[in-house]
Amino acid sequence: MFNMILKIGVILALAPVGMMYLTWAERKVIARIQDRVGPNRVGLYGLLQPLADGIKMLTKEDLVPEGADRLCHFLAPILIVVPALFLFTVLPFGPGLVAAPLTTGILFFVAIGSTQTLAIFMAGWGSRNKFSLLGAVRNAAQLIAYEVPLVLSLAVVPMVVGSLNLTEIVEAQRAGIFLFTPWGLTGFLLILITGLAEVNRTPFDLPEAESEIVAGFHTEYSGMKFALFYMAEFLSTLAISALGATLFMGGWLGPEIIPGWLWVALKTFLLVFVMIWIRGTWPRFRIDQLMGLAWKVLLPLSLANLAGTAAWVLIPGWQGTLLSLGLSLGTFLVTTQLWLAPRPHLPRQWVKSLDEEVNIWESK
Amino acid sequence: MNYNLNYLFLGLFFLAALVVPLLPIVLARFVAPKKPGRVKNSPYECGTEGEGDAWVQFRIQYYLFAILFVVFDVEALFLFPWAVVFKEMGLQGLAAMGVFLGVLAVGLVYAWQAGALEWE
Amino acid sequence: MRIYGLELIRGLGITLWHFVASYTVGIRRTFAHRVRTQVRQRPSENGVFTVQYPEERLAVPERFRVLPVLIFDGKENEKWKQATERCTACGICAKVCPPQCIWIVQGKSPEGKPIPKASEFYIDVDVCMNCGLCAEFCPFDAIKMDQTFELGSDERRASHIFDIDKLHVSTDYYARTHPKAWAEEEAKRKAEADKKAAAAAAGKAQG
Repeated sequence: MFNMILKIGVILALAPVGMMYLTWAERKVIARIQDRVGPNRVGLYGLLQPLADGIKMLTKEDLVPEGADRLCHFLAPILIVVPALFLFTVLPFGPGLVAAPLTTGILFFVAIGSTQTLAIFMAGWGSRNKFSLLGAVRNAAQLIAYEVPLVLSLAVVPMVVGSLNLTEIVEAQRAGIFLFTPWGLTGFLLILITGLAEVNRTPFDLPEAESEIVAGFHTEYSGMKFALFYMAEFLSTLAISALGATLFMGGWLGPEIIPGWLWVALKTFLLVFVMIWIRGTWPRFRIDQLMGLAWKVLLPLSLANLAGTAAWVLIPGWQGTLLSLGLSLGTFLVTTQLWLAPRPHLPRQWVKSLDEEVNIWESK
Repeated sequence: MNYNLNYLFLGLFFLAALVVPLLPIVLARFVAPKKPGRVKNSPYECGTEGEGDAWVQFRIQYYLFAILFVVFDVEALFLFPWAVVFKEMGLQGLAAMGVFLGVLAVGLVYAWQAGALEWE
Repeated sequence: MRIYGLELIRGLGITLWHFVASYTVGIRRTFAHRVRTQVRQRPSENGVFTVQYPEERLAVPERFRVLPVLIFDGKENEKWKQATERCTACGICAKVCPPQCIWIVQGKSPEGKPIPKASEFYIDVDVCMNCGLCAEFCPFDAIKMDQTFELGSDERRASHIFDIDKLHVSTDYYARTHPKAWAEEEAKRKAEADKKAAAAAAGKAQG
């Protein structure tokens, strides 16, 4: 019993602290990418900035718009943070250092993670604001589109390991981490991309696209509730990075110079850095590009990766490796061509409008 | 440790995790100012006066993607138990799943070719 | 046919280089502290371009202008006196001022006769639009544009009407902040004085 309370205490204490310093790290890295300095006034190197932000959020008025569904509006920020915290219960931080060693670890992670969609939809619908609703609908469309390739690309790991338990998956990587196999690399990249989409980060931040729909689903939230949405987003970012580090980068495995949990932390922060780096580089997708990428490239690619993994397992030696690599690369090349390559003919409605334009000029 | 204790732990964790979002909300109740106003509490519409209701129907196109999602997510659900025992089943298991996935892949190709994946 | 996604990776390379350069170039600049506060970084250069404002400042260009000031002949730290005041209360600045923020009261001699000196001079700095027309039109080089831009205060009524005491700065101060303009004006004044002296000498010779 005491053991359980200790575990709960550790997760609930460390996760918010990690999230707070993730906001700091994000602002610092983005600033450096843009040749700025970033927060540096509150404390040494701005290290107390998250605390100052927290105090500021706490003292802001909590607004509930008129005509809102008050229950939905109140519950949404709570129901988005709780699953984000739940994600950390199945992640192993060392041999035996896992809060709940479920045999269905991966499945639990995905199932809990996807309930956040519901909370976001509650927020959008409950606010009774057009921007919020638009953001929520976009979010739902995006999440269901990226859920499929995410789940399919996660399935390759149990195919090789024969278990859904995250601890066993890490142990199976003692011989060599999965990142250095062709199917592992494909799966890792797929998880990185779909993970970005799942936590609504740039370039997939359409549900909260400032330039189009103000702040998306959290337009009508202020003060602490607004902060909770951010907390959930950053917690999920941490969790999905930790999942990627566990599944493909060997979790706590590494030279024994530093303890295992530090390896997990290092690998997680490496992935978080990549996510921030991507945010500092790529512009936001358009909604048709977003759906196109998910359904036309990532989904076929994750299906091909399943086949590639099967080939890698059944055909030992370099032939299996080559086949797996060829399947992934080939699918990527073919699907991107089919998706993006210019068509020989313009779509009909463009042709029509062009004709009309020509006629206008001729009549003058 | 009894395996079922894990579920007890998750239940306890749920109760404890509720505190994390609730505590700051309750704290903010005491600290934050409370000055509601008619204009301030109206739904935000970039400063202009609100027009119509926000609770509207949205596009049927989302429904199409939702159906596609259900198809592939159920498939993924079938995939996980298969993936765990894949090594023991070997080629026979691969053939069975290959047929299942093949049918779905053909369905995806058809949906693509029919233009169901185009967002307009 | 082309391979998609390569430019995305190239973009990542560019931002990573900026990230790294912001540290490596930044260290070099820390040691060249003085250079950095005087010259704004060129767009072609890498590294952090932030100026840590209250601690570091960029030198402002000489013709940078904010609010008008009145000039008196004297040293810095000296207090202005009616004798050293350049303003003659002619009121041209008040007339040309587009937002009409200048208010002048002409001085009087002890006998009550008006004299060419201002006894009160007010500028409402909230109304002033920093156009510099007053300085352009002043025939006596008495009103000039100052470069002080840190004018924040926590009171916005009485303290934002500058009176004659607050407006006066010495010629030395002006010469320091505007070395080029000061040299030009001095040369002009000298040439005019020389011309006048020459004319007076010629008149004396004729007469």
